Amino acid sequence: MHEETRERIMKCLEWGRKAVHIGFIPFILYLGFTRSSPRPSLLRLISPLAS
Amino acid sequence: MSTSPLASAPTHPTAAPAYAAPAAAAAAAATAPAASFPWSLLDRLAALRKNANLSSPGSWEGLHREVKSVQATNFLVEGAKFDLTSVMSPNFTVMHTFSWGSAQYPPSYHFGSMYATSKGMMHGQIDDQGGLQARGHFNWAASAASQAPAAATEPFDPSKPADQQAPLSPEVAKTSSTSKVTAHMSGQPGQNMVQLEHDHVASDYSLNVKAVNPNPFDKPPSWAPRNPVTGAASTASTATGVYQLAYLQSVTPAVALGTELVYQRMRPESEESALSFAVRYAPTPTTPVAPPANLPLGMPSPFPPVDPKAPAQVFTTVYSPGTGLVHSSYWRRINQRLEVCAEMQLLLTPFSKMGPGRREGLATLGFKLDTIHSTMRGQVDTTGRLSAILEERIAPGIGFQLSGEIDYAKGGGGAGRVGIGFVMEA
Repeated sequence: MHEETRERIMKCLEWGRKAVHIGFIPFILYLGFTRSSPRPSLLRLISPLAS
Repeated sequence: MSTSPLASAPTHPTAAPAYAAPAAAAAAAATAPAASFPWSLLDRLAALRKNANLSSPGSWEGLHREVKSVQATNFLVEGAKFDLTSVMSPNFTVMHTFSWGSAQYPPSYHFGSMYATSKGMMHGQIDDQGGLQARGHFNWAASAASQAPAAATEPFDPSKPADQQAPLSPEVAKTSSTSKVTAHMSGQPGQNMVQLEHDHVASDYSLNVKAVNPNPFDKPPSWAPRNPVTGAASTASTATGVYQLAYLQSVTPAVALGTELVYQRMRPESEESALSFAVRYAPTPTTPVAPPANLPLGMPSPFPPVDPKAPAQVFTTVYSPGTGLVHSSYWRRINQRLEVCAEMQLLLTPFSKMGPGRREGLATLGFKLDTIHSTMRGQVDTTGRLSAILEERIAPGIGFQLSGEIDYAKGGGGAGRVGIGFVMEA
């Protein structure tokens, strides 16, 4: 395999890693909010006491 | 063997291994479908395993799971900790954790979120430095019974007598086939970790395949053969990473044997492999687990009933000849509220070219005691370290933890650490 191909693959992987690093938690929150019924209130994100 | 044991092929894949299929299929086509040589042997093996009434050995990672749930060191709090959990819906949970006052770690804040369904689970945790821990599970063999969300089962209510408690979860086959991804990411390069894993637990064996930081396109090692014509460096790829393969098989209803192979190639230049062997002895109890002896006569036991088929004692030993490491543990449930454990870790290497031999050991004793509203764990080891933790459930969803550890072997009368924790869940 050529050195350039290898570097290109590594760069792609690094981009993917960054995307997961930034997007993973927002993705879980999005899934949780859209797929639970009844839809929980946003305030409960901060405190379990809010209803 | 009136019915074909091959009907149970999904739970016993070894009854029809893929590699044997082409040759065996040809042989089977030539003769009658019943008893060509390799098939009859496999049939007999599958029937033997079915009749032996074997129990599931659990996964390789969980070999010492009973002991780990008893030992206090796995639950210690350092400094102060404040845990807030919001249960947004049965499948969606958000957590905040604040910790401070520890001598070893700076104050920290973690935000976690989890989304779980019957098929899979995703959990992410990010700290104030931007480090992310991500986990994802997907269960390929999810059955509705075995994967009911934990929140659906009725919690244990100590005010009711034992015979009115929610019944034990119905008999579920402990089979699962789960793919797992774990990733640790921090900003700096070289501190990221990705782990791909598949865990298959069947009724009498378990198989675990794991790859940590797999990279099939890494640079070739410096000693790779050069191009004979041009003399240029090789362009072949090297697969780097840590690869593990573990297999556990129950051989009698009480005994399971297992082996694990680890192949490490962190950098293209270095290669290592290690083999470990394990024995697990977990007999099914002949008598049911007794309620605590100090209850007044006639009073119903306030403690949750114990599954009568769950083993009441477990002995596990893992030996790695390559590193000379022996890790053995013994766990026993004495009654419904008391569990005790002993653990021994030995490092035995003979004198060799690498240096003088070593002979070191560490033994640990521990207990876990449940009262109606609290759990106590205590532990002492041979280096003179004494640790204890008390978890008090003040009200449903509110807990308080008090933990302490003292190392008597340290100078000046010993060095100690204390911690308090507050847990709130709603």
